[in-house]
Amino acid sequence: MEIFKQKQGDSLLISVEGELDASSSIDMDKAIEATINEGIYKLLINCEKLSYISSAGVGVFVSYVEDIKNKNGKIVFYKMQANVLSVLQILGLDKILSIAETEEEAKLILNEG
Amino acid sequence: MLNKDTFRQSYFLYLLMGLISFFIISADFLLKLSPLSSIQIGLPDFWISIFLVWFFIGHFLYLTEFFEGKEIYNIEFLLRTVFITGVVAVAAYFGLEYLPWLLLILKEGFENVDEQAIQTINPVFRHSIQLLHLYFFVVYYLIALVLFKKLIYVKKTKQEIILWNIFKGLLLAAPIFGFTNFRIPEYIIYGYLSISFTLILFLSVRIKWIAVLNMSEKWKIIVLLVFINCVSVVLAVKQWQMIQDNLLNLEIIRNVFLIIVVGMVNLYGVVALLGLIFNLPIAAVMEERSEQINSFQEINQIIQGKFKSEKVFEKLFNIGFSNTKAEVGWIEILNEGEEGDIYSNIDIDYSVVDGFNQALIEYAPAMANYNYIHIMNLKKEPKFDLVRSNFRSMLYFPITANKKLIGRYYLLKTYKNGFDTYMIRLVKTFIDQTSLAIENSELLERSFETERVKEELAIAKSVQKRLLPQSIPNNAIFDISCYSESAQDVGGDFYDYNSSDDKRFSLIIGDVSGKGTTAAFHMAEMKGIFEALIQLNLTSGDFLIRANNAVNKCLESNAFITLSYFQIYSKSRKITYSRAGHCPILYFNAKKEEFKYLDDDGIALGIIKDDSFKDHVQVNEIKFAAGDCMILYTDGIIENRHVRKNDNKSDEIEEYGYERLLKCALKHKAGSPEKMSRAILDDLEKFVFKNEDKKVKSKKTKNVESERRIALFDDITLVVLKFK
Repeated sequence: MEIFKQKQGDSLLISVEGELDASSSIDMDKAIEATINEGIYKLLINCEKLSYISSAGVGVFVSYVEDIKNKNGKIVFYKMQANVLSVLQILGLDKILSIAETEEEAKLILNEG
Repeated sequence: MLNKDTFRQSYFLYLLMGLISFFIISADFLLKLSPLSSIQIGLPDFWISIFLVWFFIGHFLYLTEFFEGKEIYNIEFLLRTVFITGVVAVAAYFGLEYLPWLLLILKEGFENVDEQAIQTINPVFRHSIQLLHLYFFVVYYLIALVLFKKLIYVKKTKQEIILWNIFKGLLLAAPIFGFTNFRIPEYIIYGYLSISFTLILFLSVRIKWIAVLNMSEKWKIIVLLVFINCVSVVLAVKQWQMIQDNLLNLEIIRNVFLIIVVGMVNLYGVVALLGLIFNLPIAAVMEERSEQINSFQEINQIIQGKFKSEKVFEKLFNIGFSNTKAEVGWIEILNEGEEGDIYSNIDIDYSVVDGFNQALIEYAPAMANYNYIHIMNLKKEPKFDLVRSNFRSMLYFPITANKKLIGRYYLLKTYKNGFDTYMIRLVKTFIDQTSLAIENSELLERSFETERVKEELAIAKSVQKRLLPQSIPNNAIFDISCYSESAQDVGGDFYDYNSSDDKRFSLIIGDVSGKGTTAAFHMAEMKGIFEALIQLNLTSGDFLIRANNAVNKCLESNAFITLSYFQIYSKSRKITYSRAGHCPILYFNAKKEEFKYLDDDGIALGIIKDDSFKDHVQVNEIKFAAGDCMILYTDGIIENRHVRKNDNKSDEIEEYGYERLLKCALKHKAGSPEKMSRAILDDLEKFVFKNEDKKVKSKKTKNVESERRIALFDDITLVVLKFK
């Protein structure tokens, strides 16, 4: 798995490529933690090239949802592949995570407040 | 009856015979000398010869038998016996020689005693002393001969036995030349003697016993042999003089027996001494070699036992130090982060060690690549000016294990060119051996550790297996089959079952996020919680809410649990269930003959920490009919994957997926839960291995039931339930 970070104003765009499983979730965890430590609570996650997500991978996002919500921040996912979306849906996470179709839509959701 | 005692008696007879013969000869001799000698008394010469033979041979046989019975393996002890006998003989010899003088001095006073005065002593007394001299002489030489025979026989072969027996034959036949009545021509005697001495020469070189001695024993024995040879020579010369005086009227040349004995003892003594002396330099080298071999073994033994690195380094230091004859040396053991221990022959200060290390780094910046560094003259190396003091030659070895530097070994001498190639090679060999041994022991330790972890995991696995119900009994309402396997030794899948009466059944299937040990711990934790909750007969909705609260308290923020909880009512033939983010239930409607994933909402436990969780709880109800079937599973089945290896591109991954599961279930819908379960697992296995890995597949499918081994990507659990 590879993570690409790109700062856009007060938000950060993270592009994930490959598989987000137990071992790579550690890298993901570090990336998000670093962002939060910088005081950035608005995260855009580009899942276009995320081919697989395991429960541990999901766990990373889940663990920050509460934190970020408390800081009036947000995590928005977009361009999610069907199988990844299906995993989140089954877990019921589509109800509490923000998932958008396109980047524009995602930015809109992010800035809704 | 020939027992030990009779045997002893018989060889005492030899001694008796010898002694009696000696007394007869002595008596006869003294009688002839006495003032009464004008009267012709005494034995004829023939009989004197006979008794002389008996005197010699009796003693010889007795001593042979006497020492034959004693097993003497200690060569030093053997030679000491000869030596002590010799000392006693010499002491007695000289003591007796000067006894007349002493007696005279006591009688007449010191100033009155001179050569002439001695002549006034009773000739019988004087000659008795000479007879005793002869006796001591003979006994000493015979004892030496018999004991030397034992030396010849060390590591004996047939050859030695034959040679000795011929020699013994010649010796026993020798007294024949002493008979005075029929004088054998002298040339025959010379011939006989030359044959005997040739044989003696052959016997003298039988000194194999030298090989079994160690260095210090050799030195002791050299000293002993020098004394023995002196004693032999002194006694022989003395006796020779006495016979020259012709007091005993013995004709030297006709005493072939004595000549052979004296020749044998002296020659063997000299040859053995020379052999030992010439052997010494070789022995020193051999000794060194065998010491080195021992050192190797010791190092190995130290390491093979409970490995203590200090001991190994200490040993290594001692071996290298003594073998190079270095004057000062040390081994610095490197412990990560700390100041290392130092083994040295002197009380060395760490600053000196450090000084050498620094100088060496400057001298050879690429020192890590060297097996050793040898400086023949430190004076010519300015880098060492500060530290070298009066040392001139230096040898440095790095000690490594698993490519890591674990020690530094220095050896120093105060003169130039102190170390030669041989020494360097030797120490290097020791160091290599030590490194290898340390590496091996570390390897062993690690494999022990792995083995221990494996064992513990196996225990954990069996403990965890017991957390799952061993079997769920079929009952009046449904038949059921359960299968669960972990990707690693332990896993996070679980299922459980409870039935308070035969009217209501509770069933739970769940999956803790992650896999392996962490998941297993959480699973065990959850098992306790669910066990408690399941007893409360809660509705499925309440169950989830309570479970979520419990999970929030127990789990880390990034862990969550998915589960489905069912209550099956036998009377009203309905199922109520709630799903908390778990894989959708695959339900078979017998009437419609179709499988369907049930579409309902629910969120995994441990994600929503506040009360809003209850908004996401949905209680669903299904009326079941006979033949309906419910398939419960964990995502390990859906997500199990087939990996197609691509040489240049990244691997192509395909998941088993919902579609395949549904198709397979439909195909086998008529079967019992057991059969359906097996069909699904077979299908999954077939999918994972495809056609690529036929070998593995055929091997695995042979024993499907007892040891199904799908290349597990995640823990898998499958529960198939069929209503009656």
